[in-house]
Amino acid sequence: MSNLLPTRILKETQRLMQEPVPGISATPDESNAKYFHVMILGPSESPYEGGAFKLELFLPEEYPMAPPKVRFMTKIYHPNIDKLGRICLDILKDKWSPALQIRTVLLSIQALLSAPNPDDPLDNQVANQWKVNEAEAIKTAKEWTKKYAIDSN
Amino acid sequence: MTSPSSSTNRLRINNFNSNLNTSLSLNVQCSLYEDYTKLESRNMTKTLDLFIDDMLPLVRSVLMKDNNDNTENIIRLQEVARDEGIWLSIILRLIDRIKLNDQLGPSIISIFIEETPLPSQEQITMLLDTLRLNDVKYNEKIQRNILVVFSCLSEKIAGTSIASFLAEKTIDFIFNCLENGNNLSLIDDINDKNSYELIIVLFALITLENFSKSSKNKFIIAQELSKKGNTLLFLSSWHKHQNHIKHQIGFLAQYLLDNIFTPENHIYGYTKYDYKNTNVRLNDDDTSENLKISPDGLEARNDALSFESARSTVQVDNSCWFYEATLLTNGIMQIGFATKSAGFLNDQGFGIGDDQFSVGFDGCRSLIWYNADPYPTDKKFSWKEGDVVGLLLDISQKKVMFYLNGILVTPVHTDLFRKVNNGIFPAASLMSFQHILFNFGKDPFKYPPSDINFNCFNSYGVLEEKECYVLPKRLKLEKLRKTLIKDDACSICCENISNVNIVPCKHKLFCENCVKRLSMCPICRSPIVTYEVYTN
Repeated sequence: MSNLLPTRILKETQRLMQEPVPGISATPDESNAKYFHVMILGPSESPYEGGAFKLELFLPEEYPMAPPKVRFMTKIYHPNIDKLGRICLDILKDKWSPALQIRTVLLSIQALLSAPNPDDPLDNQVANQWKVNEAEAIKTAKEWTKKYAIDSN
Repeated sequence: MTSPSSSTNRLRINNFNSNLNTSLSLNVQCSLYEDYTKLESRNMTKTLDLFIDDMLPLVRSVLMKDNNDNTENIIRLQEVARDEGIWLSIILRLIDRIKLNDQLGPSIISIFIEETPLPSQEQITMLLDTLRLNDVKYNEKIQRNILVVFSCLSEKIAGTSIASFLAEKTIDFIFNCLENGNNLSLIDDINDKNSYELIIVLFALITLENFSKSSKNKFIIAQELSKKGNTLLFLSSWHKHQNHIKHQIGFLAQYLLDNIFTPENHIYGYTKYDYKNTNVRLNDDDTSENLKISPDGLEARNDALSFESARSTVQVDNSCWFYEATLLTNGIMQIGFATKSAGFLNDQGFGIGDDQFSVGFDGCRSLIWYNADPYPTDKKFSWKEGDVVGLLLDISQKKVMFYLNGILVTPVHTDLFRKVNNGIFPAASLMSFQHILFNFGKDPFKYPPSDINFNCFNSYGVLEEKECYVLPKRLKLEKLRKTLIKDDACSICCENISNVNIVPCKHKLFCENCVKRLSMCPICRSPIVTYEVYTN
């Protein structure tokens, strides 16, 4: 009987709780230590400013040899995030390194919100709009933030 | 099995897409389903009805794996449901159409919701308004379907929308469904009518669990539960009840009490059983992440949308072995044997029988699965709730035999032994809302094969006194959090002492074990030619 929660995950969890990253919260699920409820605040001076975006993060069996699986739960208008919330980010795929952590992954996602990259799109429609008419795209992104990510109450 | 009418289907769906442009305006406040359809133009209602007529069998065939190429239709569904009004229309039609006794019904609803875009806060509000939960008393079918829709949606949406989803009327609706349980406690004789009411209680519990995944909602639900007395405590007394639905309700109520809504001075489920003669159970440290295991480790249940798997605590290397699985539900499950190499790719729908290291019988679809390749059995091997599946592993004769209520399922399976000849565990995978009871030989078998000499897993396995039961996940986590971590530990596993320099880049803080598994330095990504072990 082994296979308890890997020490690596324990250590990361403890550190996330003790030294949280500004603008990011990651809480492990009470009944599943490999599943994290994540909240990222929209970076200032980005179209996502003021929004609170919910994500889910799951650590697969092979973690940290394989990257975590991360997905936006809140709807977001972004060229590198598709409508199912999947994220196009190299470190979540072939550029993963076991030296990276949950914390660094979430920081990268936060940075992706500040700097959308329409040249490496996941949602072609959104990326096109971003390239053809950036002002309009930013406007839509702001509207979506208001509609889906800001608590109206 | 390809549907002969698939070209007509495509045609109709195409028509539907072209009608979309003239779609309904949904700024108008909508009421019930019938009133709601008045807002749709007559053409629209007809097209939507036809669309659902077409989609339902398609989604069913995706589940039954009858038809492999459904991607195109799923993409159409995604496109169509992008319109917020149409999304609502589709959900309402599902609630109205899915039958209570349809064994795949809840899964079909979950696939629709999984494949359509996430709803916005307004869409949720509109759904709640349209359902008029305060004013209308729905029949059991509609109630069950609403609960399934709620629980699938609550799993998908998050943040502020989930809080507004759990409005007062939503809570009242769920708790009214739960109240059925109290009323039913007085009735011993369960007929069809109250077995439907029991199903509502079951789905109300599942919905509560899903909503409580956000801490704010969990707090609200916990308060509501304490207001209503000890409904969960009462329902948990049904665990192991001879009525299969009551049994499931009892299991879930106990699970919720042990893991989520734990009262003060709670008596945990695992303290309630006698573990004498328990030498094998399901290994709670060797399951996919959403599977629920009973405190005695002999029951598995899945309420997530994924395909969840488990292995037992014992493995065997030779001779002949037998165990039994009693089914509390009749949906999709793959029960059989697996080695440690069999992967549990729950979110991709892969489980036991979906690789070269496992084999599973699936009596819902009358198939034997090996290497993700289904082998059809005679259609008479179709399981019902309460059936007993017998599983015989004959390593010396290199064959696996499945029995349904004592009758040998043909053909006999032999392919597993192409890749595998030892280290084999009893194992199973379950789709959403399925529940299995395992007997590894602790209790007498119902249908032991009479013509074959077999060994019993329970007389071979060993469990220490403290390993006999499954601690609730919550207590296990608490225990783990208190563990201390060494300062000089490897930065990758945090387990072993770091003792390696990578050559040529000289980066360190790793242990030999981890570096062996890498081809690139985790810090600079340069290739690892070799490494030097040093002593601290």
